Amino acid sequence: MKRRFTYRAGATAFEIQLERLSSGTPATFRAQLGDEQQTVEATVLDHGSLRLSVGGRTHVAHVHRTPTSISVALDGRVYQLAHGEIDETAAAGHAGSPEIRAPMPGKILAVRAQVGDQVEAGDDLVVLEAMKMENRLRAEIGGRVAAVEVGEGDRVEAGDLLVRLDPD
Amino acid sequence: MLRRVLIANRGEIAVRIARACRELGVESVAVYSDADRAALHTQVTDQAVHIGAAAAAESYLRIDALLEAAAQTGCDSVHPGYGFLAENAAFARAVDQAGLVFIGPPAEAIEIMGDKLRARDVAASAGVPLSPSASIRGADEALAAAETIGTPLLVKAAAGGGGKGMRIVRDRDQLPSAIESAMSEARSAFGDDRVYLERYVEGARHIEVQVLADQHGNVIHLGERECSIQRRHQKIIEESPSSAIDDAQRRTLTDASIALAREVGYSNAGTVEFLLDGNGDVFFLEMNTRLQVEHPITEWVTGIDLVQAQLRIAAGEPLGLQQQDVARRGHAIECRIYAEDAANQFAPSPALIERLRVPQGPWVRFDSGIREGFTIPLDYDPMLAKLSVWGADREAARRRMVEALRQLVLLGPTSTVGFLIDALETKAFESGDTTTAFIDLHLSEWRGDDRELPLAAIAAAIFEATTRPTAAAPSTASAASTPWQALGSWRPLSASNGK
Repeated sequence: MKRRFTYRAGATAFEIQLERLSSGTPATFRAQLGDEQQTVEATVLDHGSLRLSVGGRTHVAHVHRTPTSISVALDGRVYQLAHGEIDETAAAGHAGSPEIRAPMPGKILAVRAQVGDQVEAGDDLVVLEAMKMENRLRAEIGGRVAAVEVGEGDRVEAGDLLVRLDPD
Repeated sequence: MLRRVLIANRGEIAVRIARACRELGVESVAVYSDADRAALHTQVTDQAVHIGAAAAAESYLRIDALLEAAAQTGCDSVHPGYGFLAENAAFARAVDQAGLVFIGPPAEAIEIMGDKLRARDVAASAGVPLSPSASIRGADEALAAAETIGTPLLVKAAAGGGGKGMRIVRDRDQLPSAIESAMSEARSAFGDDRVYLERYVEGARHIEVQVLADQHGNVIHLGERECSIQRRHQKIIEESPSSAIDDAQRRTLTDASIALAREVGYSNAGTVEFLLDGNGDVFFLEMNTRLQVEHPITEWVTGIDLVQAQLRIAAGEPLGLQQQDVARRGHAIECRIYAEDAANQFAPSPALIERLRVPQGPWVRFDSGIREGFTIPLDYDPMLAKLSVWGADREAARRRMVEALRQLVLLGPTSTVGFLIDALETKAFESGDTTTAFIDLHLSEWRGDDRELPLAAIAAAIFEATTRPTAAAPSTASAASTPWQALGSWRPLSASNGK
């Protein structure tokens, strides 16, 4: 049986399909992230920490969960992940920005909006490939597409403007 | 020797001082504000006294409350640490007048060095190299002075410190407005709006010399530290020795520092700060009349405990060391770890420390005032800890620091750990190309910890998959079910999945 987990980090939303292949110590999982599939061996070490072996490398992750987010400490760095997808929080949280910007450097895989299109909050507008992940960049608010600054295959830098909306 | 020391400070430096007291068999007394009732520094001393509300002005900056605490606990001396009242001459005098020993320099030396204009006069008479400068009373005088000094210029407050009342001026047209805003900032920060102009040294390195002086006229130096890597004019990575100076330059700096300490009648630990420009010329910046935040790297390379030395000197003991007894070995690096978001203009991020695992290993030192379960108060400096390491050479120290930072687990506040790892791994740092423009040049585009984001997400998913039933939706993870309670057992995903 597969389970689906969705997280956001900044403006990046992604989805993990997790399948347990074996139980025990360590347990083995198959994790699918975008087009990437990885086999991960995992051992729970103590309250809130896991040892993960993936691709021949071993990491210890410390995880802290709050009702709305998960922090993962990995090799000194801390990654803040929010539960759920962009559209869920856009609805619950702040008004959202009319500008879609690249959250990190990468390559544009697809542009799913044309100038003049009417879009809803949560619609996929751009697919950005970065760090071996497909990041679907979504409209934070509803509106009409006012400008599309990139095309398929373009390389972009973090912070580059991709799409601008005229809010409803 | 001193008998009982009131530590008029908080956080890591209060803990550091308490340790030195213990090791010398001297008792210590901590003070704490409302925000610090459970702070680590209150747990490592012989006594702890509550001195007021969270705001520093109502606690750690209250001279009356501190003296009252000292009297009430029978202290014979006061260590001011750094920050707060450490460079406040009125405090040093008040301690003295209360019949207590101030563990620091004479009030007079604090006063002179605290006034940048007077400090420059003393430095000039001690033969210390100075950058071109002019004191001014207003915009008219400034324009004439700027003519002779040249641009770029720095407008600085005479009473200044920590970058307050300081402006960089590249274009002379901006000078009047820069002076006006510097004066008004200095007036509100220090109650003193005197400013002066100084040539701004671009792409400089910040190099400082540690001096130790006893009350019997002995003055020695413990070599230099380079603290070029700064954000908002505050140091974040320091090292000793500097990779930028040769023995002749080192000699110039250390001779000047000793001459300045003698000229001002200094005793106890102090630091003379200089700028080194691209031509190899050095200019006096200021003297800090206290223990520095970055003192551990000097302790690493000299083997001298600076806080113990401070206590001995304050007790009237002679240094017991001559310059030739000070041998320096290897290389040390310190990283200051702040509760700040380096991806967001270093915005402070005070929060509860959810988890803390401290780096370990040979030649690794972690100075901090935090512990798991402690909430970083909003009221004080957001520095969480200082991590310092020693290595046989610079590269060994650099690699040891990177590994130590990787070991650190700090969940709760956003911290600068990832930023520091990336800074240490730049080609520029590796090759010793460190100037005060380092962050602007090499890390201005730094946008956060995203390198292992996919793996972190997988870790989160596996954590969730193994710590609660499959049926639970994210919204049902209530505040009551902490991971500690939830992670009781290794739970299979479902009965049908047990292959």
